[in-house]
Amino acid sequence: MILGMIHFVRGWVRLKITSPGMERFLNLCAARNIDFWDVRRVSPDTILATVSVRGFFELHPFARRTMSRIRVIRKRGAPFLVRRYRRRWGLWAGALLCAAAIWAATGFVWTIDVTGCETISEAELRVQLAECGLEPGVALKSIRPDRIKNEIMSVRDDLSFFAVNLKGTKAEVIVSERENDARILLKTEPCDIVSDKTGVLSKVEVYEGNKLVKEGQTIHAGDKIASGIMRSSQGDVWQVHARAQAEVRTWYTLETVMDLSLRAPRKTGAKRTRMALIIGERRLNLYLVENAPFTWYDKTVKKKSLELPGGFELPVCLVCETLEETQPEEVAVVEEKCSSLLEERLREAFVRSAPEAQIVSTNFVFQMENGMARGILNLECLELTGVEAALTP
Amino acid sequence: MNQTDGKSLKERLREAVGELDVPLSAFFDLPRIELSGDAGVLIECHQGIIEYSDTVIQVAAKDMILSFTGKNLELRAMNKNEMSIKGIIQKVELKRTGAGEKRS
Repeated sequence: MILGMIHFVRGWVRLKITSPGMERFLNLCAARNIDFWDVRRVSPDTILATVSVRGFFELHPFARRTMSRIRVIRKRGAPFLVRRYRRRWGLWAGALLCAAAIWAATGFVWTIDVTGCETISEAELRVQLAECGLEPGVALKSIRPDRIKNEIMSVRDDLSFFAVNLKGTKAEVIVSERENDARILLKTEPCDIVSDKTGVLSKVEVYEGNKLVKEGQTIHAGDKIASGIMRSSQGDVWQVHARAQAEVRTWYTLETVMDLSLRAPRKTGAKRTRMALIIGERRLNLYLVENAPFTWYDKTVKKKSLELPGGFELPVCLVCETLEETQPEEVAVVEEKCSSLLEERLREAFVRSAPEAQIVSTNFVFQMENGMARGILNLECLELTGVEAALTP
Repeated sequence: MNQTDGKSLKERLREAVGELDVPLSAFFDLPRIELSGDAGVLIECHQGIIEYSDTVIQVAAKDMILSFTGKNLELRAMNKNEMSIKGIIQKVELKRTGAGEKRS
C-alpha cells in the first residue's frame, strides 16, 4: 500500500513495448536506473511494463538504439492530476486552505482523556484542569504539564499520582487515588478492631486478638471489639494484628416533609429555538432571540459534537436550545400518591447513605397536617462493623 | 605466478573470507539469490537479462549465469542492482562462465 502511494505521488505510465532485442532494451534501462515493474511478456517481441514518469522520459534514447516501439496504454498519478487541474485556481486555494487549517489545528488540544478516576469525580477534575489552563481548544504551546501537576496536587489531597502527557493533539491525564489510611495499615502491624456503628451486637467472630464484647451487648461507634494486646495466664504481654468480624442490629428513623400546595409548570405551546456553534471555548450565536423570551420557561439543550471515525471527538459542537413557555399551576395532591412518593424518597436516601446495610424490617408513617405531608420511615437493619485502628492500651 | 596448488589468487582470497564467516557478497560482487519457496525469487547484484520468456529467464551475474526454469515466469520489477521474478519456479541452475563449470 505504501509502495502504491509512492508510485501514485511520483506518477506512473503503463507501456506496451515492442522490440526485436527486448532483453537488451531492459538491460539498458536497468543500467540507467530506470525502474520498471509489472513486466508481462505478451508475445515474443512485446512486453507490457510500468515505469515512473521520470523514467518514461529517459526511455526514448534506448528505444531508438534498440529499434523499439513504445506505446502508452495508461497513465496515472499525481503529476497527471496536477496537470489536468493546473488552471483551477479555486481548487488549489481550497487545498492550500485545507492544509493550512489542518496544520493550524494540530497546534491545539482537541481531546482530553482522563484515566484512573475510581471514586473521585471526573467532571470535577476536568473543571479543575480547565482552571489550570488545560481544556479542549487551548494551544499546545501554552500547556505546562509540570505546572498543572503542581497546581492540581496542591489543591487535591485525594490524589497520590497525577501526570499530563501530550500525545499529538490529545492530552492524556493519568491519576491515581490516595488509598484510605485504614487500608494502608500493614497486616503485620499490631492493631485493635473498633466498631464504626452503634447498635446491638448480634454476632461476633474474633479470629485474632482479645475479644472484649459479647453477643447481645450494646455497642457504640468507637468502642473496641477486639484488642491487639494479648495477656497470658503467666502475665506475659504481646501484641498482635487483631482480626474480627461483628454484626450489629441497627435502627434508623428518617423523616421528610412536603408542601401540599404544589405548583407545577404547564406548557402553553409557545416556544423559541436558537442555535449556536461552539468552537473550542468560543461560542458563536446563530440567532437573534433575546436571552429570556418568556417569564417562565423550560430550556432543553441538545449538543451535537463532530466526531471522526474511531470516536475521535473534534472540539466543534452545534448547540440547539429550545425554550418552551410554561405557566405555573396549582396541582391537587392525592394522599396515596404522596405517601408512596415520600416513602420511595426516604428509602432511596437511606440506600444512598448506607448501601451495605441489610434491611430487616421497615415501618412507614404518613401524616397530613397544616398543608404539609410528613413521612417517617423506621428501619431495622443488620450491618457489618469492625475496622482496624491504632493500638491503644 | 598467481597460481599456487592449482588455485588462483581470487579463489584463495574467497576461501580466506569464507573462513572468517563473513558474507562473500560483502567483499565480492557475487549475486545474492533469495527464493520464496517456488513462487518467486529476488536477485541482488545482477548484470542484466540474457533471456526472457515465460518458461525461462536467464540472468547474468559475476562469473556465472543464473537460469530459472518454470511456468508463467514474469519479471516483477527490475533496477540496476535488483531483480524480482515471480511465477512457478521448477529449476534453478548456475553456470560458471569463467571455468566453464556447471553446478545445479
